[in-house]
Amino acid sequence: MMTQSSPTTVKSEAGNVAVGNVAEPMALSVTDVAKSYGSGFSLGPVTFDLPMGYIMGLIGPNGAGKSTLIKLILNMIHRDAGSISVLDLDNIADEVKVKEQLGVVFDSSYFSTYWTVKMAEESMMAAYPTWNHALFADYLKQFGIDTKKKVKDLSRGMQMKLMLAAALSHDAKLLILDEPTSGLDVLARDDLMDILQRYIEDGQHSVLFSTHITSDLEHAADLITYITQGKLYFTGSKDEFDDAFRLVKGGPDELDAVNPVAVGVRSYLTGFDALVHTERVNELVQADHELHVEPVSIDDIIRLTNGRAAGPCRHEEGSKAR
Amino acid sequence: MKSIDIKQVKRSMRIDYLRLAASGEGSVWILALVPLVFTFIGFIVDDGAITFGAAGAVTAICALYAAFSAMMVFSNEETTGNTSMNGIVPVSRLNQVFARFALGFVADVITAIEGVLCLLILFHHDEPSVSLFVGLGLGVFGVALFLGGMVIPIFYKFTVTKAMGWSFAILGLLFFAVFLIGKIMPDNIRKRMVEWITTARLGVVPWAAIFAVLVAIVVCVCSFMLSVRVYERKEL
Amino acid sequence: MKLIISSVSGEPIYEQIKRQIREAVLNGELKGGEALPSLRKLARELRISVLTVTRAYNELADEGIVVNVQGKGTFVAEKGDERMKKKLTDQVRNALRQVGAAAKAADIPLIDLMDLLETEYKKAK
Repeated sequence: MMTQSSPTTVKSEAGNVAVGNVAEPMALSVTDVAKSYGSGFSLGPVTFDLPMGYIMGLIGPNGAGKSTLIKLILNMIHRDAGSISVLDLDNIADEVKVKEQLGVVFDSSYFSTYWTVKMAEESMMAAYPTWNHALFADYLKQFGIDTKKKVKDLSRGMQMKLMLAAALSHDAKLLILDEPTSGLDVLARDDLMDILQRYIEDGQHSVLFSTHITSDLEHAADLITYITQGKLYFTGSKDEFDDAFRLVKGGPDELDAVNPVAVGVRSYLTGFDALVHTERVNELVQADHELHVEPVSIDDIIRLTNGRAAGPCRHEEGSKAR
Repeated sequence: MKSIDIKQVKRSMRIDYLRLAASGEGSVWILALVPLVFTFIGFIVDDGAITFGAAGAVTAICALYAAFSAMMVFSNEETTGNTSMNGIVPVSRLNQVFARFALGFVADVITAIEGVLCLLILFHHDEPSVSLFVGLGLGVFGVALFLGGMVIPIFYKFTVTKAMGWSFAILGLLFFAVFLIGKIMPDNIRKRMVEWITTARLGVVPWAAIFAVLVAIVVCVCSFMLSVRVYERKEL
Repeated sequence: MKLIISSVSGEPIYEQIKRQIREAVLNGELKGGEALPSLRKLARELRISVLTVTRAYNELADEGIVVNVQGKGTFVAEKGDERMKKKLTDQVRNALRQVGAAAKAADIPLIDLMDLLETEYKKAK
């Protein structure tokens, strides 16, 4: 049985992150962006900043609005409100200039599947004046992609790597990846995170990485923006995100005391897991010393802030087990 | 309103060409050879009817190929998951539309020239008048431009299968309308029209052909503006 | 320089980094004026976030153990080891003051207290 109070946005500053506390320029600034569909789904308002030189994970369950947000940044769909600035340029007024410096990877190949890898490169050469053929060839070699093969004959993972190679070969300053790891195994995902960390290493490049495989972000992500059910739930540093909540566990009779304070609760036969803002944990613990408090993982936060039913409630009448 | 930027147009034209050539660059040019085959047949077989039939085939193929080269780009784009690339490349939507029209225009010019050359070869016996061929060439060009122009906005609005349906429906309606007008028209007006079509010239170029091309260009410009409107609203 | 990060120890990663750097400075492994690994390179090698390393370096700089030089990197403060030693000595002194107070409250004479200290000192580490 899951209960959940309405999500409140937890914001924190992502500004003073540099060594020496000098303010960093922004790679991406999204302000009050909103979009609603006739079907009833609406996203926003969403506000967050990605300073230059960092990796931001965009997380949330499927259907939360992450892909919608990315398409809004790319102006592939039209926003109802707000403004988006990429590398200090307006994403609509300076759309072309923006896209020249943007590298994009989608969860499915955007190349024509009938193209050979060589033709795919030709399309990229045509699109980007800053195309670096030698660099692209190096990446192809590194990823083991044969230039004579047709895109449709590449595996899903290879197709993603092809897009990645293209995104990295025209001196893009911001990389946007939408669920790039869904088709990859652990080793490939590890390689990807290494590539991304190398990419931002000079401090002049940034990454926005949307995923529902949060383990990829546990280590390398600097910032987190968490979207759920079309609402912005949190944006800020990953350490703050982890630190903003605690997992409080207790027995069934302690639930009533915890419920009003918790952000999300999952209860089961022998007790409950509750997600509680760190500031409020003390008052709970003072009232009841038996409560068990733990640090929380990104997955726990996502699981407990979404009202998805985990399964039937297992209370049985007259059950002796407690 | 943003303006047309040749740099961006060139980028998009190149990509559209790659879409046409997706099954191999050879395939684009092999299709262009088809009229030549008919020409060859018509040339070898020295029978008036066959030659005429070949000429008809050549004309029709050239016009259709030119008109629907744009459609082939749309088709390749959609069936291969290539449309999302349009959201990524640094080309504004206005310029993407212009590029597609431009590529169609270039295809039209090439196939019109090819058509005229084929017809010249087929009818080399008859020492035909230059103006007849210029007229035919421009006529083919005009028809292709007209058809392509009419059809492109439909393909921007709908998916390929739906668009094909709508295109044929509209073209069918068009032909039916022309047919009706022809039927309804009083005889003397029709006679005068035929006379004008076959005789009026501007130097070597028949007025009818010029008229056809002008109409086609107007249709294309309107179709371009409509396409831009449709495409800029589209959600990719 | 040796730096080991444990993701299961419960200690926040930035604290682990700080602690190990402090230890390295104290035992002379890192000398005054020596450069710490580049912030971003370290983050990549350890597979942790750049912000985490930044926080560790910044807090160490606040403690005076290292110095951030804009554009050049982060260096162990000259006499960083001395500063560390002084800081730790202050900590010991404070702790001892509290111990003294506690001992007096418990009526433990100084001689016994010193015996106690000797025993525990030998046990420690």
